[in-house]
Amino acid sequence: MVSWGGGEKQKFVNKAFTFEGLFSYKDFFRILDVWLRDKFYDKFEKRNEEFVKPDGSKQIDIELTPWKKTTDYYKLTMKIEIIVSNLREVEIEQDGRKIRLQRGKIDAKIGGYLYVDYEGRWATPVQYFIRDIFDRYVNSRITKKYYDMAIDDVTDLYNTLTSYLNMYQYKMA
Amino acid sequence: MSDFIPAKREVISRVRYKGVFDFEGLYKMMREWFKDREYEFWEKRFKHKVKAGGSEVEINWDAWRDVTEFLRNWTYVYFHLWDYKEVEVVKDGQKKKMIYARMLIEFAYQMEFDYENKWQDTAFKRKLRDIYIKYALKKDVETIYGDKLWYNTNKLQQAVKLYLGMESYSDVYDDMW
Repeated sequence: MVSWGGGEKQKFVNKAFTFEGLFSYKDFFRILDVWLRDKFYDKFEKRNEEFVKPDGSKQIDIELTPWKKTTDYYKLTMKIEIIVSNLREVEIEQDGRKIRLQRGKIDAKIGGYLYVDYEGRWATPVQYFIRDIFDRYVNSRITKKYYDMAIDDVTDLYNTLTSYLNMYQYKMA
Repeated sequence: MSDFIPAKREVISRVRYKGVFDFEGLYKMMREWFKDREYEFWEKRFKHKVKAGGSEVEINWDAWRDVTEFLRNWTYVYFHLWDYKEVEVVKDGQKKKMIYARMLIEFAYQMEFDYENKWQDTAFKRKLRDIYIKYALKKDVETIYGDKLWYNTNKLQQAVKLYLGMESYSDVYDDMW
């Protein structure tokens, strides 16, 4: 369940990619969901838009903000925005078999955030000061561990999605 | 007055769809979804405004289910449709009346504690209720009741996406609760 407390949101990492070509959007979305579940993120599908155009092509716009409470104090959140445009069904032949895929353009952005004191228990200026000093100098190793976790998670998700789309082969060419 | 967590209705998801779809079927499917899960159901508002380019429809549903004598789960659904027009399509060789519209569906939830106002009449009881919710029930609210309601409301959103044949559908979280 999403936290209804306060807390401070700190952004650490942002990655983006664009892909245009053949893919299966259902598989792409499923891979994203499987990755989130494997990493113990709770699902938060904030926005899911789909527009079917008169020519049969589709425009999809989704925003996910999954979160993971690592302790009572630290919470990792991601903001995943995906826009798929001109999505059309196509049929291709692979190894003598016909396969139904889709052709379209994907624009994806993945942001990683760390919430500290997500229940908002250290909210007054004095408490905030003590908390921040504690995070920076006393508890810095633990805080860094979660900073790194936020960055690693975003990088790993980025790699998983781009691998699915075979984007590395385009990079190498 | 009873206590609510979260204090305001929290929208967990917004689904937008534009195209041709079977609104009557969607309406029935969602109504059945609540019935199957033994929710009480209240259609709070049904507004149909006829306009030149297509009607505008707004519907509000409040559904609730008593989990214990102290806790009640609320699920709220809000529909807003623009450019609502009846169209005739051919599906599987048969003519069928369907709807062309732009549609927004919002899903929200809340938990209501002491919904029968039994802990209300004295200051002592009110304080006791606060302590009970904030300390004794805190973990259960976060990890059991809240989580279950959150994922069940998500399941309704999933059912809508599946019914509309939306591409962004996956069953990965379906076995949660």
